[in-house]
Amino acid sequence: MQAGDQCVAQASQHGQSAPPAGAAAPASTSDTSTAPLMHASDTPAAPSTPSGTVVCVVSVNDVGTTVEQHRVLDVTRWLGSHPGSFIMASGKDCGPTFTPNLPTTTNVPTTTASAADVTISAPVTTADTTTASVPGPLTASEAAAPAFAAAPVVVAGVTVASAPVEVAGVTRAAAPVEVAGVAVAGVVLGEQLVLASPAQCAQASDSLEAMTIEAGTMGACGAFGAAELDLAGAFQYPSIPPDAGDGTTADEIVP
Amino acid sequence: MARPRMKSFRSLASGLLGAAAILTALPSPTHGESLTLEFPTLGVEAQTEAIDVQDGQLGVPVDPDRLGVYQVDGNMLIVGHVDWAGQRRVLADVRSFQLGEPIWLSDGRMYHVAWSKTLRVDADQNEWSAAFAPADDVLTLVTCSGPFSLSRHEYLERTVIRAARDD
Repeated sequence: MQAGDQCVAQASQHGQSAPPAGAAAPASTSDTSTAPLMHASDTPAAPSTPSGTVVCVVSVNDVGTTVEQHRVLDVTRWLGSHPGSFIMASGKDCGPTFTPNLPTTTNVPTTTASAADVTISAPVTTADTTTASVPGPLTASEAAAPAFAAAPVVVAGVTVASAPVEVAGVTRAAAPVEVAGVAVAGVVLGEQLVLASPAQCAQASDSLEAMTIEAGTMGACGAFGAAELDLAGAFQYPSIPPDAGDGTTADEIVP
Repeated sequence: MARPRMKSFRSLASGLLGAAAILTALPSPTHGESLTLEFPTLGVEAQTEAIDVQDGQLGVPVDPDRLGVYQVDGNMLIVGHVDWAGQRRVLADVRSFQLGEPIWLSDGRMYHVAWSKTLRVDADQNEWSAAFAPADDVLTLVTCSGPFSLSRHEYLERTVIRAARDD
C-alpha cells in the first residue's frame, strides 16, 4: 500500500465523519470534504499556487493518530470544527503522518512503537495482534512466564529426583551417609558384590585397583573378596597362592 | 592399614543379614579366633585374622600387619604380607628363615621350621595343592618373594615354609 493511498483513505474517513461547517459555502474549494488532498510534496507540482492556508489535520482513531496537510480558506472556522488540528508552521511540515497508539497497559519501549510503525496500514485487529506480539514488557512477561516458572520446577525436580540415583550409579560413592533408603543400600550392596568378584580379582588387575580404591593396590583383592564373600561358609581347598604384597619394597621389578 | 570398604561392607552385611546370620556364616572358631604368632628369632609377632578362599585362591589378611589364617585339616595356612603401601610388613623377613627356627603360638603350641621352598606363582597347581593339603598338625607360612611384575601386579614367586609341631 502506498503512502498516498493511505492518506486518501484517511482523508475520506475524516471528511465523512466530520463534515466541515463550511459545507454550505458556495465555493467548492471551501468544502474541505471535497478539497484535493495536498501533501507538501504535491505543492510544487501544482500548476498554480493554491489559495488558502495549509493546516495539519489531526485525526485519532483506534490505530493511532494521523496527521495530514489540508489547505483551507477559513482557517479560524475550520480549526474550530477540527479540535487538535493546527496550522502548519511556515517552512515546515506537519511531522509524522501517522503515530500508532501505544499500549495503555504496558511500557512499550520506543523501539516497539517504531516496529509497530511498519504495520500502520493494517486493520485494527491486525494492529492489535501486532501490538500483542511486540516484545513489550507485559506481553513478553506473559509469554515467558510459563517457561520461567516451569524451569525452576523442572530443574528442582530433576535435581531432587535424579541426583541420588546418578551419584550412586556413576561415582560409586553411593553416599551411604546421607541416604538410609533401600535404593542406596541396594546400590552399595551391588557395588560390593560386583567389585569383590574373585574372577575380577584373579583376571583383571584394573578391577583389583577399582576394588580397593582406598587401599590403592590390588593386594587387598583376595582378602577383600575372600573374607567377606564366603559368608555362606562353603569350604574350599586352596590351590592358588595368595597375593600378599604390592611390590612397593620389591628388590626387583620386572615388566 | 584401614580399609573402609571392608568396614562398610560389614556394616551393611550386619544390617541386611542380621547378627545371627553373620555369626552363623562366619568361619568356625577353629581358625576364626585370633591368635598371636611369634617369631622369636626375628623379633616379630603378629595377631591373626581369618581369611578365606575364593575360586581356589587363598586370601590375604585385610590388615597387612596381621597374619591371615585358613585352617585345612591339620594344616594351618598362614599368610602374611611381605610389603604394603611402601612398607615392609610382618613376613618380610621370614624368607630368611632357617631350618629349626621356632614359631610360637599364643595358645601355647610351638612349632619349628621343617622345610621351606620357593614356588613360582604360576607353578604347577599340584605343587600348590600339595602345599595346602591336609597334614598332621603343621603350619604352612606363605608370603611373596621374587621379582615384582608390573604387568601382572604381583610378585612372581612365593616362599612356602612348613613348620612342624614340637613334641
